[in-house]
Amino acid sequence: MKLFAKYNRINLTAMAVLFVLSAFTYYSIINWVLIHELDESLDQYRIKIAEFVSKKHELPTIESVDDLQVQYKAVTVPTNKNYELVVLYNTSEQKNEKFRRLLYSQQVGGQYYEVSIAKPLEGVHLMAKLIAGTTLILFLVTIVISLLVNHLLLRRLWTPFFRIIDSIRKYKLDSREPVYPDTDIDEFIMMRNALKEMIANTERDYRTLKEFTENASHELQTPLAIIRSKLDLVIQEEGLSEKQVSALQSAYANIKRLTTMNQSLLLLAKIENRQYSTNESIDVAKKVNEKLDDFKEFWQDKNIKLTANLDDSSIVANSDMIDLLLANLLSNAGRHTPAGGTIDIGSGPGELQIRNTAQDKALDKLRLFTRFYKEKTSNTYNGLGLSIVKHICDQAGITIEYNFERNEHIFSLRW
Amino acid sequence: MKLLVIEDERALSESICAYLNGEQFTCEVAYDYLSASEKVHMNEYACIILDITLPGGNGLQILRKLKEQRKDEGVLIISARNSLDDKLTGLTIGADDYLTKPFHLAELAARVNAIIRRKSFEGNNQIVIDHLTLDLINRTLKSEDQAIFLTRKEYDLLLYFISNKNRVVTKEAIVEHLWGDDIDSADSYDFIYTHIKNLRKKLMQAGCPDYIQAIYGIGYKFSINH
Repeated sequence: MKLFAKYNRINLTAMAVLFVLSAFTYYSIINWVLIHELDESLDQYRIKIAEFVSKKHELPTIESVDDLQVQYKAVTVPTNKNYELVVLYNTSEQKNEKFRRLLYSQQVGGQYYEVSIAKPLEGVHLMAKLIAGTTLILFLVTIVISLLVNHLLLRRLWTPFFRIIDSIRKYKLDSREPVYPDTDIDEFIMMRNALKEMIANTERDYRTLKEFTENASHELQTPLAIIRSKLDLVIQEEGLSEKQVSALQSAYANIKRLTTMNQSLLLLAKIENRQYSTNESIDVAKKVNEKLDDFKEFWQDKNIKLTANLDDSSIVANSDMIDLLLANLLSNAGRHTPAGGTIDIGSGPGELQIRNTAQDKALDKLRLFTRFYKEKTSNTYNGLGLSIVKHICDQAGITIEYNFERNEHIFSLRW
Repeated sequence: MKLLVIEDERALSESICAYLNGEQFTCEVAYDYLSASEKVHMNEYACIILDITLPGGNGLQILRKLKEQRKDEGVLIISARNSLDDKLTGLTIGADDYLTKPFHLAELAARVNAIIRRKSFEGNNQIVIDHLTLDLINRTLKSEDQAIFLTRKEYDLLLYFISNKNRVVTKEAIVEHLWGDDIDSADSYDFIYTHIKNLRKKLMQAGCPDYIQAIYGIGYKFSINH
């Protein structure tokens, strides 16, 4: 839920409760005040009657003034003075209505009369309703205005917040620092500073980690060079036994594996560090052809059939990177094509596609480009090739897509 | 011919010397910047094998001094840092070649030989070895005046063998030399057998002795018997 919506919801509920309470209180107070006024006017009338009686020694003739209804009734026992609410027939309105009535006794010459003075409550109710209605309208106006104000003002006030969020969303690790909007709101300044600090820390850690990867890989090169050189010397010896040869073969193969893996990791670190940034226009079809010259021989050996439909295609990118990209994609295709399979390569303006017969099932689309992804663990392949491919594509602005159709792995590149 | 190996890792420089020392070369070693500078200043070498990171200084500095003194030694940089920048800086200052660790000793020998051949090109663009004469400019081969036609790969292969004569060379090193690093897809290196078989056949048809000897499970050896 949006903060606005949440705020409005709470705000409106509170206001509604307040409104009901205040309307009720208003109504009660006004009702009480008006009835009190009414009682006073009834009492005034009683005093007038008493004055009349003391002067003339008789009750005044009944005359209906306004809605006032006066009645006399001879009684033997005097009644106590009392105000009450009753329903009476209103002769002028010709219907039953609520009245406020004053009942009391008046002595005229030794005879007691019960006097009833009543006034209709209609006016009081009307007034009370009017006040309640006015309150309601005022409340509605307040709500509408507050919603509008909230909408306009809050949106304006929150602008820096959304701009900060926006710049953070666009931010990528190891790229340009996000541009924060200017703001004089303390909370937003606090958030901006916290983010700045967090990003600075993350960047520093990330850089340290990358430097570590690169340094570690470099440091490994020398011992590898020593081991390989020692093996190169050992094989110069004459009369090596079959066991020794097989041990040497294995040692060589694994030095090779370690070297390749190390170089791949270094390469990834370098691509991430953007050490290959010089761009030039490259004839992709020509480059593929050059690479194919080298690969053909390997593929013929495995009895792989190659079809290449290379139409003109060019890209502006780093030449070394494109070399690596093609080498990785092609060696990958060769590696995963079973003997007797086919490899199809097609290029056109802004695209390149490599298909090869699959050995078994489709690759896992989600994990395909992650480091050390392998379909089989026994493989001597290090599982970094496609990760390198993906990194290069990302840097060169190429989109790469993997599909599996009719038992074929398909890598499609577009730029 | 004298070579100087400037490399602080003693184990590695020992290997290099053990491999290169022979009828053609004698190796001297230097393990740090100071002794290396001294040796370079005092003596003349056919080729200097130079590591960049050295105790006491940077190998590139030695290269700079060498060029300032207008010395004509060939320089092969060997470095663990295969960054493009280092390579470019090295080659710009005047190194002849650049090899990244870990390398095959056979590859090192091939590069050193290539540098020395290039340096002594004046009036000598031929390699004569036993019955064979290689023309380095036209990339052709003759055996006692009889031309032998080689493919590009066969010629490179022969040159590689000659640079490593009387040494066992692994199939892996041959593949890397001829096809480069990209080709790591091959699970076995047996396909080079075709090239070797063809080269061998061509040489023998021209009446040469069987120079190329297969070493079981490892690779090949190009031997000249006197």
